[in-house]
This record gives sequence, C-alpha cells and structure tokens, in this order.
Amino acid sequence: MKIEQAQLSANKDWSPQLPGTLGQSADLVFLFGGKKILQDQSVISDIVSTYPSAHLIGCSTAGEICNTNVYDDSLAFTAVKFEQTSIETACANIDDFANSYEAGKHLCNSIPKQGLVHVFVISDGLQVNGSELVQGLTADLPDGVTVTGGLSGDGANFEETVVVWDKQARPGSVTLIGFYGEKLKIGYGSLGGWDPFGTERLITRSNGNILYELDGQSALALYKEYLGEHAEGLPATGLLFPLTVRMPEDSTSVVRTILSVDESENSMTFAGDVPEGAYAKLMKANFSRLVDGAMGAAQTSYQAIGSASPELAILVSCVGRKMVLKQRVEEEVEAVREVLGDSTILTGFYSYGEISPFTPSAKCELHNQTMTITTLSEH
Amino acid sequence: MESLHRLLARQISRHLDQQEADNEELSAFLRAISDAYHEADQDRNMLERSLELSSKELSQANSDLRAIFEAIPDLFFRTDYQGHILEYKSGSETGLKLSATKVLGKKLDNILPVELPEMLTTAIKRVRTSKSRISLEQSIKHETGRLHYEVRLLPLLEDQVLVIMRDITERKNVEEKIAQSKIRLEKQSRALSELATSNALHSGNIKEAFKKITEVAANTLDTSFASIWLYNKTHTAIHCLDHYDKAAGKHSEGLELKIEDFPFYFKSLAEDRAIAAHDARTDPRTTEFLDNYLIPNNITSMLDACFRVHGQYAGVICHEHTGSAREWTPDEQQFAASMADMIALIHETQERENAQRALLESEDRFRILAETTDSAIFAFRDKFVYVNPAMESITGYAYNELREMDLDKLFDAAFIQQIYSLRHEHTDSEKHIRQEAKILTQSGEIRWLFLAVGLVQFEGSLTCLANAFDITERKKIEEQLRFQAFHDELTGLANRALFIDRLGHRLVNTKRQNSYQCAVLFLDIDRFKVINDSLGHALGDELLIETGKRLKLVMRQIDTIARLGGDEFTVLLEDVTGLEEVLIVSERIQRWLKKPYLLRGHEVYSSVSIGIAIADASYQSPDQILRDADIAMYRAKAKGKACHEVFNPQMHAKAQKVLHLETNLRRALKNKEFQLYYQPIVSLKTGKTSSFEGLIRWVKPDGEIVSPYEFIPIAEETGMIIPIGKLVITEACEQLKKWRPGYPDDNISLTINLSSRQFEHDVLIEDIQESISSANIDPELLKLELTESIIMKNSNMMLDKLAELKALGLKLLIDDFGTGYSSLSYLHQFPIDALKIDRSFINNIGPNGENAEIVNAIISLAHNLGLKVIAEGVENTIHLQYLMEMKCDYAQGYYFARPVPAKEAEQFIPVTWSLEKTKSATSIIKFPS
Repeated sequence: MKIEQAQLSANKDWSPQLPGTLGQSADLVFLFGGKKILQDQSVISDIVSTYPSAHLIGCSTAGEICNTNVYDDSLAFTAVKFEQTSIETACANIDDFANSYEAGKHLCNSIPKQGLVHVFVISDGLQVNGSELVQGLTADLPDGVTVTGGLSGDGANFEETVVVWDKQARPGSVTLIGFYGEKLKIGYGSLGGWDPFGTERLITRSNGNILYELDGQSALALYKEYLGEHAEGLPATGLLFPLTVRMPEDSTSVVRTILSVDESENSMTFAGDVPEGAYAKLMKANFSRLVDGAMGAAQTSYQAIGSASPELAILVSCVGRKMVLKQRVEEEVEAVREVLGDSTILTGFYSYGEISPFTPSAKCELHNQTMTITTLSEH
Repeated sequence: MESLHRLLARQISRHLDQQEADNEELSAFLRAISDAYHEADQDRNMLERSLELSSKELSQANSDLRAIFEAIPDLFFRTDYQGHILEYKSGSETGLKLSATKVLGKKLDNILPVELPEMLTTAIKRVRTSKSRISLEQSIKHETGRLHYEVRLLPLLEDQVLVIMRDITERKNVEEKIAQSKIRLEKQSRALSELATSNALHSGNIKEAFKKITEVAANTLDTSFASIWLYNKTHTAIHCLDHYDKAAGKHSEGLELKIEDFPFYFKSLAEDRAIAAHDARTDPRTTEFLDNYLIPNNITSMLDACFRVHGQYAGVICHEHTGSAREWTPDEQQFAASMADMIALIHETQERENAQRALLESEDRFRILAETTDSAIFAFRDKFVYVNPAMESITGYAYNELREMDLDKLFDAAFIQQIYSLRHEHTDSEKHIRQEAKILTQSGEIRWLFLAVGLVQFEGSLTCLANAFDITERKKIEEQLRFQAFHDELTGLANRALFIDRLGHRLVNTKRQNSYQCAVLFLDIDRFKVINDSLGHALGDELLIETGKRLKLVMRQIDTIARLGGDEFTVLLEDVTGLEEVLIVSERIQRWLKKPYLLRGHEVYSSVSIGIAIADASYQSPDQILRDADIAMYRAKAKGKACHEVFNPQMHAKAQKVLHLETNLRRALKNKEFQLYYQPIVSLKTGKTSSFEGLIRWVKPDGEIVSPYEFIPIAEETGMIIPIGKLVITEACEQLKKWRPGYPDDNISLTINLSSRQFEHDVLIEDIQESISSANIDPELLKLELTESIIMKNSNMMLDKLAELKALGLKLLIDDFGTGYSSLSYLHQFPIDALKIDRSFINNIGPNGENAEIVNAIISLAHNLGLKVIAEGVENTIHLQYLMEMKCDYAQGYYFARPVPAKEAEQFIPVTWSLEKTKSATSIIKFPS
C-alpha cells in the first residue's frame, strides 16, 4: 500500500504540492473537507486529472483530520495505491428509496460479495436515518464482513452535508467502498468516554429518531433547562449533553447525539433511533475520559490486525467531542497516534455519526460521541 | 471578540509590564490563554449547573421512591452475610410487627419466629455463593392459624442481602379452597359424565333413569336424601317420582305436596331456580317444612333446584342433608342445577321419542296415501327428489327418468319462473303458490296440471313439495266454453260479443294511428225468411252455414267474420287503404254469395245486402260503427237488395227520424189517436152503398191528419202494425155493430187491410175471432183485403191460414191486384171472394188510356173464376162508364166519396148513387170483338 497525503487550505494552497509519487497509479482518494471547498468543481477536476484511475470518496465534515492536525473548511487529501487489494464503490441517492433501510440494502447488494473483506460507508449526515441505514447495509452481508464509516458533517451548522462520489459532491447521497483481497487486514474500534449522570428517564414519546418526551415531559424543555444560556446555540450545543439510550431488554447502551430541533413540534431529532420504552440518561463529557476513549478505540483497532502498525487509519470522530474539547481537540488525535505509532498515516473527519461495532465481535451499530477508527494494512 | 479573561488580566497586571503585555506575539498567545480560561469557566458553570439540576432531580426521585417503598406492604431487611439486620422496614400487613429499634443490629435468630431464621440463614448462604436472587415460600405457625410468606432475597453490594417478605396467607387460603373445589368439581363432573353414559338414562325407562339420578345426586353431594318431584298438569301440587334414602339404600315414591300448603317455598323456587338453604330450619324459604318434615327427619340443610321443560316449570330435584348444617358451595349449587337440567333433558327426550314414534306412524300413513292417490305428489329442488306413482302415470315417465330430468323439460316456462321466484324470493309468510301449468308428457302430449307447491325442509334442504292433479279435461271444456262464448254455434264464426271486442280494439288502433283504417260490412241475406219459411228451418240453417263458409273463403285470414244472429253477418276488414278497397271486397262477397247453393237437393239462389261503415276516429264505441253499418244495410235493402250501400250521416238522420216516428206511434196508440175513416164501395148494379173500406187515419191532438202512407211502412218495420192492426179489426167490428140496428136490411159490410206481417202473426185468427164475438156480428160482414205479395208466398202456412179465416166465415179480397207478379193461373187455388183492381189501372182507362183491355181481361177472368171485382180509384164518370160497360161489380173512389169519419159515412148507407151519366156514355167504349 502506498499513500500520499496533502492538505488544501481554504485559500486553495496545497501543502505539499500535488502530485507526489502516486499520481496515475492511485486506486483510491479520500477527500474530507469543508462543504464549500468540496463543491468547488475546479478542485475536484484538478484532482481527477491528476489521479485519473482513482475512485474519489469523501464528504463534508465538521473538521478534517490530517495527520494529527484538525482543520476547518480545508480539504484533507489522501491518495492510496493498493498492492494486493482491489476495491468496488457504489453510491445511492436516499430520495430513490422508501426509507434508509432499503437504501442500505440496495447499496450493499450492488457490489460483488465474492471475496469481500470489508465495507467502508460514508453517508449524508442529515437526511439519512443512520440506524436504519446500518441495518440495511448489514442485512445481506456475508459472515465475518463488517461495516465501518460515518455520517458526513456540516461544521456546527447542521444545514446540509454532501458526499463525494464519481467526481461530484452531492447532498442526500450514501456511498460505500468494498475492499477485496486476502492480504488486507482491517481493524476497527470505537469508544466514547462520556459519563452518564442524573436519573434514568423513560422515553415516553418518540418516532424513529425524533424524540418528543422523556418521563412524560418535553425533552426539548429539559435540554433547554440544562443548557441555560447555551440553549440559544441549539442544536449544536445539544451535543454537550448526548443521550445514552438503553433498551429495557438489552443491557448494552448506545449514545445518541442531537442533529436538529423543531420548535414548532417541540421535538429533537437524533442521529439514530430513540425508541419509546427505552431508558435514556443525559451524558456529560469527562475530559480525560474522552482522550482515553480515543486511545482505547485505537488499541482495539490495533489489536485486531496484529502487532505491526497499520499503514492507514481512518478516524471518524464525533462533532460533539470537538465541541467539548475545543482547543484541545487534537489531543485525542495525538492519543491515537501514540497508540498506532508514527508510521501510520492518519486521516478522517469530525462527523454527525460513526458506524462500527464497538468491538470486533460485536454487532455493527451507529454511534454518536465516539472516536471510531478503521485501520488498513496489507502487510 | 471576548474581552480578556478577568483572572488573566489581573495576573498580567501583577506579573507583566504593560509594554511586554502589548507585544504582538505575546498578546496573541495571551488571547489563546484567555480563551482557554473562558472555556474552562463555561465548562465549570455548565458542570455546576448540571450538578445542581441533577441533584435536585435525584433527591426528588429519592423521596418519591421512599414514599413508594413505605407504601409497599412487604417486610424488608438488609442483612449482612452473618444475618445481622442492618436496615429494617416493617411490613404493615405481614403479621410480623417489630419495632425498628429492637431489630437493628440484632441477628435474625433472636427476633423472628422459630421457623423463619433457619430458612433465612440457609437462603442467605445460597445468595452469598450464587450472587443471584432467590425466591421461596415459607409458612409458620401463628395464633390465628398458619401464616404463609413469600420470601425474596437479592444480593446487594458489599456483602449484603436484601430480604423481602410478603404475607401470602390469604392467597394461600384461596388456593386451598380452589383446590378443594377442584376436587369436588372433578367428582361432580365424573358423576355427570357417568350419568350421561348410563344405560339407565337411555333405556327409555324413565323410572330407572330417575332412580339412577337420585343415587348419583345423593352420593356426589353427600346428602342423606335425594328426590325428584314433578308438577301435576294443573300446577297445584308436586308429586314425588323417586325418593332415595342413602343410608337405607332404598327408593320410594308417591308422596304429594300441595302448592297451597307451602306457598313461600314454591314462590322462592320459581324466582330463584334453586334454593340453597344452608340452615333449612331458619331459612324463611324452607321453614314451612320444619315441624312435619325437617325435624322428624333430622334435616338441617336443603338444596333444591327446579327444572323447566319447554320453558315451563316442570319439577324439582331436592338434596337434603342431615346432621350439622352445611354450606352449599357455588359448585354444589351448580351441580344441583346440572342435575335438574339432566332431568329436564330426559323428560324432553322421552317426549321427543313419543313424538318421533307418532311421526313415523304418520309418515307411514302419508306414504300409503301418496302411493295410492290419483293426485300427483312430488318434491324437487333443481331436480326431482321424490315422485309418487300418480306423477309417473300422469307424466308417462318413471321416477328414474324424472330424477335425471331438468324441470324445464317437463314444465312450461311460466311455471319454472314461478318456482324460481318461490325458491329465491319467497317471504316467510308467502311460502306457497297455487298454479296451473302445462307439462309435456313422455308421449309428447300436453297436459294441464293444477299444482299447489310449498317450500319445506326435506332431507335437510329447502325443497318444493307439490301436489297436483290433472285438469286437462276441465281445460278442454273451458276452452270449448270460451270458444262458445265468443262464437256462433251454428256457423262457428265469431259472435257479436267477439266481434264487438275486436272492433273495439281496432277502434283504439284507429285513434292511435292516423294511417290505420278498418271497415265494417253488415250483411243480411235477402229474402232469407222466404227461403226459411218455404224450404224449412233446417235448410235455412244450412244456407247460413254455407254462407259462413263462403265468406271465410273470400275474406282474408286477418278479417273477422261474425254471425250476429238470424241471417245477419258482419265482416271486420282490417287495415284497409280506403273506401275503394272496401267496395271491391263487398262486390266480391256479393258475387260469391250470389252463386247458387245446392242444399239437400235444392238449388237455392240467394243474395246479400251489404251495409258498409268505415271506422274512423270519430266513433266512440264499436256499437256505433255496427249500428251505422246496419243502417246502411237497411238502405241497401230499401234500394232493392243484392247491393251495397256505404253509410253516410244522412242515413243516420233518417234512421233517427224513423225511431222518432215509432215513439210517436206508440204514444198515439196509447192516446187513441188512430181513427177509422170509411170510404163507400158502390154496387154498379144497384147504385146502392154496398159496403165501406175502413182506412186508418192518425189524427194528432192538434187536428193534423197523418196519412197511412207515412206511418204504415214504419209500423210494418217496427212491428207496431200488430197492435195497430188489432185496433183496426176491433174498430171495424164495433162499427158494424153500431150500424146494424139502424139499417137491419142493408147488410152493410166492411173491408179492412191486412199487412203481410199482420197476416203472419200468430194471434191474428184469435184477435179476429175475439172481436167478432165481442161485437156479436155476422162474420160475413167483415172482409179482409190481402196484398198479392201475401198470396204469392204460396206457402203451406199461408194456405192454412186462409182456410182458417174462411172457416170463420170471413170474405177474403186481393188488394191492389195487378201490381204484383201474381199469376192469374194460380188464383183458383186460393179461397178468394173478390179482387180489387189497383188504382193505377183504373187511372189509365179512358179514351187515351191503354189499360182498358187489361182491366177488362181481369174482370172477365175474375168472373170466370166466380170472383167479384172491385175497382179502386174511380174518380170520374169516364172511369165509371167504362167499368159499368165491363160489368165490373163494385166501384170505390173520389167520384163517390173520400174516406170520412163514421158519423158522415153513416149518411151514405141509405143513399142510392146516380149512375145515369154512365148510361149515356155507352158508345165511347169499344172492345175488340
């Protein structure tokens, strides 16, 4: 696997200049960046002409990860040439399907299953129900093949996200990469580092990922009370208090972050399902535990592929973490670097939702507020 | 941009020179630090706020939970593994009330009733090892009986165990009761099923059945006695059918209780269905039995259930318990009710079996009836499912054939339709039909059946059951009667009723469609009466039949030909284009009917007169059209027969005039407006008045005199001539009687005219005889004038009548001689006394007349035959002279006198008329020699 990485600043300055050593030979290019820069067709055209054989995959973000740096409104560019691995990509528009489940199912079935090792998915972050999408994607997957990835972001705006596929950045899209090749080793891990606090509350009224009431009271009003003066910053400030949701019959919990609020409906929309009858608790960031969480995720992904450092790590971290960590956001990327070692190329983005099993043996799920790491290695 | 954090600002002012602080690089660095300070503040604020809110929520939740906890009736302990009580909440309803202060810190053994600590210690050990929850039940002795507990143990952190104890004594007691009740129910259920399968109940022997029931009832409910009682028919008493004494193992029967003796008991029984008297001696429902029954038999509790048959109270089953009083549990009461139901069932079954037997017998009777009756009886759905032998015989098909046959192969469509309606659209109240229907028998013959069909359940399906008899013969007769009602018996043609009916229909068409026209021809056979009278009725009938046949031949099929009666026929010409076509048809008819008929060896010639009326929309009724055709026919007759005449409105007017005249004639007759005028007949030998001709005059009340020429034809036509003629005869006789005393020697006689109609009338002879004898006159004085036409009929009837008249002594004259076609050669055959030569001959004699020779010849011939001759219409001396020369016997005319009333005429009797001038005129007559 050969990798070259560069960054395009908001002022359109490449650092370093492209192309590097790969150019024509690159198979895959990851593009994570600000929505504006991605929708600049000249940027995409330049890249296409420089890397004509590569599949372009990427999305808009709430922050791009390039090495251990976190940027806003720039473009993180990572070109990959595989030595013993082949890939297939596919894309679907969510409007063409009855629901997100059907879209996921269709996408997964539009790539060959024979020899499939792993699926990496990038989805629109606002128009897609991530929980349903994951269920659709995993419905027909062969045993042992799993899905990782994330939902695209739009800074702290929550207005519109785009996904890059086939030389274009579009809203409402879901794209995936299927990896084929016996030599390819995939590792993944996901950890949060948030502490639940206060009482457990019963979800008394919700519809899919839209939450209306907790314990018979307005959920939005509860958030506003806790946020105090920061209530004005909703939905973004809602990320400071993610929900941990526990199904009554299931001891495992998932974390849900807020995507939008609807004042007229008095409702909140989360990045994944918040089913009625489940119990929810507010969560609070524990600073050191966030960084520990990133480290833990890195360790899990590392252990999965053996002793050697992986060649490439794609970090998908939640926008909520970035909002809490603020100036110290890069500490969690550095923590990952500490675990994976200096030889691993890091790329990724701050997202509206992360997709991965918690551990290699667990079921693939949509997460919020986590650092989710997918590592690739052809050694 | 946020201002510099206050803490940082203080630190800068304390530790840095202002100059250093203003350094650009340092300033940017300080700003980053300031931002970090601010962020930390925000984070802390948020954290503090969250802590505060969440603490408040948690303490609220905590107090809520504590309230709930306190409200729970269970007993709680928290113990360590050694059994020391660390926390305690007494259960409000556990029966174990301990003060918290006495319990805390103590070991379980020291404070709990003896059976509990042992169990709890063991259980705590189990929790300690398994780290999982345990639940178990434990009962302990207590002063109020046994107490039952449900105990749950949950492992807590830090080597502690939570013990929750719940008092479940009540639940346990209920369970116990349920278990007992279950045992009883099983016993009862076994008893019921044993009864249900018992032979005794199905043997048909109701006594054995009841014995079995009382035994089972006493054994199952464990009572000393069980008995079954039935109401009598009048419901005034109950009668014991079986009484079982369990201890003695004996059955008895026959006791009777009058309802009136135990009014409250029976009232309660009827209201409650069952009486469960736990203490029968005090229960108001059963105390009526106390002294006579309960005490002597040591009965303490009673359970009596009554049963109904067909909704009526029929009887009661009684269970009686001795010894100490007992409670009747609901299941026992239910069992008693079930026993009562079973008795009702047996009773009903018995009744049903009796009914079934009766039904079978009835079925047998029905089958024999069905197999032997002449009425067809059959049942069918889409096909036949039963037919009796009569049905087979009527249809000619065997049952096997009928069973396979579609109904419409046999029955007509109308009947099939009716049956369909009956089967699919019937209502509960309309479940049968009565209907006539045609069938096509096996031999291809159509027969009529009268059917009564009803819907019944047969073999489990809705089935038509029919009973039918053959009415073919009746139908034929009906058909014949219907034909006869509308047809002429003799010719088989339509009769008046049918003709009027058809004409009525066509008239409607005419009114509806302008283009439609039809015509009515009214035919009358000319001289039919002559043929009938002369050749006999039988031949006349044959002529009518033949006429009918010929009409049928010449007319179209669609035209209606009818015989109205007598010799009148009518033809209805349908859909004609106009009068021209009708006339062509009429001519064709006349041509055909004119051809000779050969009837019984006679060649008969006939013709018809035809009246034609075109039916147009102006007619209101068919009778009017027929009437007009009739009128036109009369016109045709009047015109000379064998021709046709088309009706026009003038004819009708004339006919009406005739009708009017007829009415007036009747009135005139009634009002005696008719008088006889008398015209003298003079003897040309003596010049004396020899006799008078009596001539009728109608003198109206206003004095106007109507000539007989005007009214006699109408009188003839209408038959009024008969009463008028009779009047004339009577008057004549009376007048002769009046004159007789004044002129006893003159032998004055009177001649009167007889019309042919009068002559043919049956009572003529009688009337004359009566008048003559009433007036007591010499019959020879009355002379009758007959017209030639009467004589010329030459029938036997006529000859007989003439002979009779002669026998009466009357003289007979032939009137208007010479005008008819009478053959002189026949005259001698008739008993005639005189001839009256018609005035037309007399008028023409004289110098320029040509009739003198004819008159002379008539006179000579008459004289040769020994007949007298009377000349009519003698008006002048020339007539007189000629007649005298020709030796005519008598003369009559204006020359002598006009007809005058009787009074004036009487004056002529003694008169001798002057015949002188006639003598001087001798030479004017020259006869060829």
